[in-house]
Amino acid sequence: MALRDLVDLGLILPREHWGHAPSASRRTGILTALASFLGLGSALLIWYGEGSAMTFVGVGLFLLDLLAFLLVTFAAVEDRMARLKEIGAEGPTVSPTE
Amino acid sequence: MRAGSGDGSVELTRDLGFWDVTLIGVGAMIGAGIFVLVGSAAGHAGPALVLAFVINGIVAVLTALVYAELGSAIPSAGGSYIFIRQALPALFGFMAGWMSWFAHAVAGSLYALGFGSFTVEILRVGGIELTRWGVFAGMAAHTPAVLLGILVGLFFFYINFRGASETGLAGAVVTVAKIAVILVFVGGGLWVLLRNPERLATFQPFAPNGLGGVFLAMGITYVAFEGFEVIVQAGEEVKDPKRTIPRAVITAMIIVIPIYLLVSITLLGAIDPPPGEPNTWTWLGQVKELGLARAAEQVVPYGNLVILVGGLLSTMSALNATTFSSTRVSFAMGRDHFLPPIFGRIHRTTRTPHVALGATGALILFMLVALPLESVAAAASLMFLLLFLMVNLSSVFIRRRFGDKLAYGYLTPFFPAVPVLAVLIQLVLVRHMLHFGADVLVTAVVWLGLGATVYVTYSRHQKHAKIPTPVVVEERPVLEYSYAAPPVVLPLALPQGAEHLIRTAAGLAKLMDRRVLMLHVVTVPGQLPLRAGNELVPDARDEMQNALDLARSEGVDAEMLIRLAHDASVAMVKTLDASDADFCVLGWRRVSRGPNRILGSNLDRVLREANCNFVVMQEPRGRVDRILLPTSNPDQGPLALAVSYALARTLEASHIDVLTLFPKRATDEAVDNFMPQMAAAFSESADIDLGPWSDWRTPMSLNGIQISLRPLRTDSTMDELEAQSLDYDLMVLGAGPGGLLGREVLGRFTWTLANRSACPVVAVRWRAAPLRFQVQSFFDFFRDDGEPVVGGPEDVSRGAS
Repeated sequence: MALRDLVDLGLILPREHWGHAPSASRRTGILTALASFLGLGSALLIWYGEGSAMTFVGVGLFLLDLLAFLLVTFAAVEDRMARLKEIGAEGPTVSPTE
Repeated sequence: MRAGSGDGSVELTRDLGFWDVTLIGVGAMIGAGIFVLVGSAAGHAGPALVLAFVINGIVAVLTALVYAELGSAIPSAGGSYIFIRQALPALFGFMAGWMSWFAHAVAGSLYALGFGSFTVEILRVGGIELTRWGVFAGMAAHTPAVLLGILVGLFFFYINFRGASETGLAGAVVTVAKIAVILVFVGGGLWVLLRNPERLATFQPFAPNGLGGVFLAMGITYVAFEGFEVIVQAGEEVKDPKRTIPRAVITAMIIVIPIYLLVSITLLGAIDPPPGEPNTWTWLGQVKELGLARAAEQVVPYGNLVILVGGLLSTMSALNATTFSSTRVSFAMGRDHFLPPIFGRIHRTTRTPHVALGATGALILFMLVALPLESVAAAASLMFLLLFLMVNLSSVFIRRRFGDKLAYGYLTPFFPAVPVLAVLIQLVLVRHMLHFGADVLVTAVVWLGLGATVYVTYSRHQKHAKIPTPVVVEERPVLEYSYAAPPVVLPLALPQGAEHLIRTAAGLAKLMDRRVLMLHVVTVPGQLPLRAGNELVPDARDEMQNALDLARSEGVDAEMLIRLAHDASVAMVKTLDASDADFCVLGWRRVSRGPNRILGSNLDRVLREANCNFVVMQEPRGRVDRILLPTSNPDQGPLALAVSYALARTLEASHIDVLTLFPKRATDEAVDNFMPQMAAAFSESADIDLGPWSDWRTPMSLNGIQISLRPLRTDSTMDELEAQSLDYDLMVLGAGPGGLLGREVLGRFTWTLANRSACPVVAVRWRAAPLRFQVQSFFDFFRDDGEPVVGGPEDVSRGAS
């Protein structure tokens, strides 16, 4: 698929905003890193716990981590949408009929 | 999307919100995988099944992040197939579609087999051993399950061919029911564990088969994590996809993973093995797909039955969903000329992709017969792994090529580390899957080899669509019309035989100085992406042109709107809301058998869910000269009179008789006091330019139409109006919007009178006040019929007395 096709499909940013590599916000990056370390740590606890209490502590931490991850992702989506709105490229939005 | 202009704008109808699409994903993941596969997986991993689910969860979340990113940037109905086509050379695009088709179809085989096993087990619990009974007598133990799987596979083939599919609400209900069944089991199991914490010792030794066993369990159950693919595939129908898709993808994962973990902890901690078995996990490995059901017996009364019924629900809905999604993929490949174009054909009557569906059905049934259940699961997981691996790679290429230009609604953090890590873990899993068994390896090699052959001999030589089918195009606000006033909306399925509706809508528009908006909904079966309905638009536009011409010949501005939708009623409600319609004119073809289904499910839903004035009209029989309008409501009567007047103008009637009903006990004084109020209400109304009506006993004349007002005493409104109907050619009835506890379709009174009336009936239902409408909508959610009787002359006559 060529760039022209993506333009035709209305999936592209306004031209003046091209050229900047997209990246998640700093807040998202830090929070995701924390959540990832927690997830990895809990998996290690489960494995090295070998079925002992430590394994179940790991499971509990993992469940908490999932919740944290959900919140981080929602925040990341809102960050991104705010950014798109800022540059007038929020793209598909809920229309009056939707 | 909106395309075209002039006499026929075309719109797609987006009707999936955040929870709709999240539950679609949860429904695709939870249930069948966990119900069918958890026993086998426990047999391989032992208590480390918990770890298998944790690692699978992590791997799936890594890939889900990538899907969230791509789905928010390129919302499409093709899912991974589209992403890979955009990023990688054509061969990979083809192979992606080829694997996606197979993976979903084989998952369907798994669910059909699971259904067969659960049915056999339910019968066994009921004391019926199928292998000793009737046609099944003497068959091998697993054969009845396979035969039942074939039967249910054929059933869902037929359902999909007919174009029916699980509706959003029904799907959500099934999903919630599945979760409830599992939570009952988990709740019972956790209760046992809390009361006997020493049972946690059964988790040691933790990984009796080492990491190899964990990886095998991961491979088998990976298919239970593929719901994000289904969410992304729904992209075309999702509202605000940039925000909704990434949130739904992650939410679905975060709902599902804890449930899997809790099920595995319950299974391995709270369940005792039968006598003679060394431990729970080896026993679960032996009973395989029946593991969860048999385990449930120990923690919940009738747990076996509860889980089996939940399993049946799950396998059926999952089979339907996978038949649906694999058909969509093969249809898209046919449209893109990766497969012969016959795969992209749509059946003329049912509007379903019958060839793609037939091929998918054959694939499902073949795999169901050819492989044992565990191998089927492993083959499906393997294909999904390879597919997700390619999607992860594609995300890197898409970012490199278009990353600075695409309007992403979500960005994967630590890019490209996340997709690269996902690819590496998936490669490890693929390697372990190849050791699962020769049949899985052979299946994968044969399917991929067959795909390569099709590509080399056919697809490579075709000219492929530059823009793959189907991608969401644009999503400008769909109704950009600037009306001087809200329009009169006329939804029409077929213009033939609807001349009276067209002329009535035009007459109303003329009287009220409005425009007519003619709405035609092209219903696209759920098996097809909405955009596929585009090919039906030219015929629809041609058919509607005559209707448009007829309306314009009545001297009003009229325009046509064609909407592509999976659900006609949703499209109609959205159009009425968006255009802020003043009136909606609907046809009432025949009197239905019951008051709960007055116009048919589609139009009844429109009457319940949209808030505007409705004119619901039966076709007049022959010439209309005299119109009867029974009303005793000074607030709503004038609008009903305006509608009657518009009808009289349109149908060239000469008389409108406004009949005000009183109970027999009403005194002359009460009548004499009330009738002038009615006359004053009519003369002061802005809806009709009647002028002063000083003496209600003297008829008024407006443009040659005589309007008279007369009182009538009766204690049986229904009988009286039935008798009166003998003297008239048309009766206009008011129908209130219903009480606060729910909206009416038209009300039982109107329905009954329409049944008994000698002349055709036109029902006018008024717009509700906005706050009242909101309250009614809230209560409507909890209501399943249209029973309450409100409105109609019985009520207003009480008020008058």
